[in-house]
This record gives sequence, C-alpha cells and structure tokens, in this order.
Amino acid sequence: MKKDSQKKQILSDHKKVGTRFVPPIAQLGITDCSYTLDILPNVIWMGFLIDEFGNRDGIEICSAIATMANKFVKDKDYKNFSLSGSYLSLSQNQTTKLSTLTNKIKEIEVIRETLAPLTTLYPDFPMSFIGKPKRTFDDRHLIGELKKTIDKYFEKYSHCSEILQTNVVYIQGVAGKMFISSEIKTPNLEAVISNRDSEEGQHAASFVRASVNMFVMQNEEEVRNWAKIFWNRNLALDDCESFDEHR
Amino acid sequence: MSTDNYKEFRSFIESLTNSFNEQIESRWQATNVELYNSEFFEVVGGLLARQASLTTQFASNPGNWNAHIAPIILRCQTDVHITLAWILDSHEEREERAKKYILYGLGQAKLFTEHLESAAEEAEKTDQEESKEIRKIVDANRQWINSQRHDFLTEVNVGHWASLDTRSMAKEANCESLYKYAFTPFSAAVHSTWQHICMFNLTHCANPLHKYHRIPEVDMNHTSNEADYLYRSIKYLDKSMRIYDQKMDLDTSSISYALDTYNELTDALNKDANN
Repeated sequence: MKKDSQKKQILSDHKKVGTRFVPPIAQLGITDCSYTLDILPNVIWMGFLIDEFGNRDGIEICSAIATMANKFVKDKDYKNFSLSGSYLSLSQNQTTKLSTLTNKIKEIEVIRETLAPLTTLYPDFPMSFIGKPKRTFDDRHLIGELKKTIDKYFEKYSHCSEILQTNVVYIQGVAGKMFISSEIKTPNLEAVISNRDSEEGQHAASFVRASVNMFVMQNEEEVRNWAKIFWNRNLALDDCESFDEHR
Repeated sequence: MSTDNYKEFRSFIESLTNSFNEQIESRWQATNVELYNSEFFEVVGGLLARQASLTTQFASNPGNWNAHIAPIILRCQTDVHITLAWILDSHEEREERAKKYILYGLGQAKLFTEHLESAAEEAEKTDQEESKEIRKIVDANRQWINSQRHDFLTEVNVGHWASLDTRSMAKEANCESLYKYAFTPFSAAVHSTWQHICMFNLTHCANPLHKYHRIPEVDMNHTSNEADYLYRSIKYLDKSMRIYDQKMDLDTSSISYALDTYNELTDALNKDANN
C-alpha cells in the first residue's frame, strides 16, 4: 500500500487560480470547439455527398468544389472550404463566379439533388450557389433525409464521422495550406478510411481530430455563424421527439 | 403492493423508528449531564436527536426515497454528523465549540427578527393588521432569544459559525471521506447545480435534427423508491450514534445501534417473506 505522501494528489497537473483548478491544456489558452455544435453543421454537406457517391468519389467531389472556392482567396488566407461556413467569407460576386464553375461539374444535377435538404430547407445555407435540383422534393422527405444523415454523423468518434473530419484535413492539404513539422510523423490519411484499426489508422485519426479543431478555430467566426443558423433553423423545421415514441 | 404486504411494511417501519427513538433515549439516560455546563450537552444531544428525527421522518415517507428528495435529506444528515463530530472531537474545546454553535444560531435568529421588525414598520403604512401579525412573531422571537442571551448583546455572524468551512471541520473530525463521497455529491441536489439538474430534470429530445438537445422533464413517477436511500440515512444515524458513544465515553453494553436494528428487522422480514 502506498504511503499518503506517495499518493498522487488529485488535479496535481492543474493550476490553482483563486478557487479554480485550470487543466493543463486550458492554461495555454486553447478553448473547446464542439464537434456536434460547431463542426457537424459545417461538414454535413460532405456527409450527404459521400453517402451518395461513396468514399473515394464523394471525397473527390467535395475536394473539387473546395478547390474552386480556394481560387478566390489569397494563399495566406487560411480558409478551409470543406467547412460550409467558410463560404460566408466570399463576396456576392465571388459566389456567382463559383456557381458558374460548379455548374460545369459533370455530376452537378446529382449533387444538387443530394444537397437538396440543405439548399431547400435552409434559406441561408452558405453553399446555396450549388443551386436547387430540377426535381422538387416534399419537405417531409427532405427533413427525413436530413435526420438520417445527422444521426449517422452525430458521433465524433464513429468511423464515418472520422472520414468527414479527415476530409477537412485533406482539403487543407490539397489547398497547400497545411504544414507539418519535420518532428511529427506524417500521418497517412488514407489509413483512416481503409485501415482505421491499425496503428497507422489510429495515429492518423488522432492527428485529424486535433487538426480539425485548429482549422475550425482559424475560420471560427463563419463556422460558428453557420452552425448557429443551422441548429436554430432545425427547431423550426421539426418538433421535439421523445425516446419513448422510438421504443 | 398487496394490503398484507403494505401492513407488514408499515409495521417494519414502525418497529424501526420506535427503536431509533429508544436508542436516543437510552443514550441520553447514559449521559452524565453536567447541569452547570448544560449547553454543551444540549447541543450534542439535540444534534443526535435531529439525526434520528431526520431518519425517522425519512423512513416513514417512502415516497421521498428518490433522487429528487433523498439527497436533500441525506446531505442534511451528513452536515449534522460533521457538526456533531467536530464539536465532540476536541475534549478541551468542545464546550467552547458548542457555545459558538449556540451564539451563531441566536445571531441568525436576531438577524431574521430585525428583518421582520423592518417589514412590520413598512406594513404599518399600508396594512395595520398585517403589521400587528408580524409584530407578534417579532415579540415571540425576541422572547426566545432573550431567554438565552440578551438580544442587545447577541452578535450577528454572517460567516460560518465555526469560522471553518465544512471540509476543514470534516478533516479535523476524521470524517473527510463522508465529506468527499456524501456531503459534496448530495450538495448538488441541495443547491440544484448542473450535475443534478442535468441527470434528473432534463431528458434528451430524440430528434437528431435538434442536436439531441435536452428538454425539461418533471418526474411524475410517484411510485419509484429506492431502499438504498433509507439504508444510507440509517447508516448516518448509526455513525452519529457511534461517535457520540465513543467521545462521551458511554457504557454501551446495553445500548443498540441503528444499523444493527435495521439488519435484524430486514432479516426477519426476509425470513417471513421466504416462509
């Protein structure tokens, strides 16, 4: 049995500030960014596309759209266009031009249909430049699709959510806006998709989670603006439900 | 619960609470009260009776054995125990500590009376009858205070009565684990802090579109009760009895303890149920 003096003091790594105990990471001034609250509304558009086109093609379509948007910002501007809120930083003129560019994507009509829940139900969706589909859909159907997709990507640590988050890092890399210190082992992002449980996959997934937080903070204002609009709009779209009804 | 089972249960609770009352009485009989210094004995005897009263009332009302009400009672009981244990802890200072405890209570009563006095003056301008009613309470309070100490000599202490926080008192009285594992978590229910509200007064909305946000939920279940809360209440009474006996040097050969009685009665109840 350990003597009292050898026992580890609880919260010993925390710093006492008055009557508060501040955890080590918070001492560096790093604030929390919630996956559910802030990140999910900004990456859910990629979830729709990945569900429709599959991992590989879905990721490439998302990346293509983000790359087009990237042309409108300076290299030193760390906008990450995998986050839908980032599109709020573009001017009206720029989004018109972006619309012309995305119109040329071969699969644009399928993309429009796939993103219809977002482009139709949210008047302020920052990526409305994609355009609405030719076919019209019943709102209840779109709300159903939205619920299904949000539910699927709701858990930060689920494999499908990790793929969405990996795409945020991938797109930052494709835009040439990500620099990795030579002291850090370069993660193999592909492993998150193909070999998640391997050591390589785990390393990449943890790198992704930490990096996404940073990219979101670099686009904080727009990301949070859109997240706020998104969640508040949802309350108007559908009523509360009880888990008892689901049983 | 069938009528027979209910009667059996009521009889079990009655036997239990009667025993607690007898156990407190026998302790008081065994205590060598010094009348010249009666204040100390009144304080510790009163605290022990308070502990038994809380357990008795709690045991008699199974509708309160739930996460909304039980922690409020149990936190109160841990507070009683820490106060009792701290006063008894120092043989040299125990009379001084009991005195502080009394003076603090008198000061609080004086403060309340002053507030009432002021309310009576205000009421006099608009409602003479109401003012008269308030003054009756003021007079009764003043008489009660003056019967123990002149109210004009009574200090009002707005800090802690022992000039120590509860954690320090618990530490000094060797009941820090009770503070850490009972007083602190039960305080969440008393002060309605987030960890209590979130667990017991909110439920998740099942709509993913709503971020599974939490929505208020009033617990309308009047039938759920958890006997573990009763067990804890009796355990705290038992602890207080034991610290009292030990620190007061009581001859305990013929005195029984709350938890032993509870175990004996539940064993008997279980035997009956199995036969």
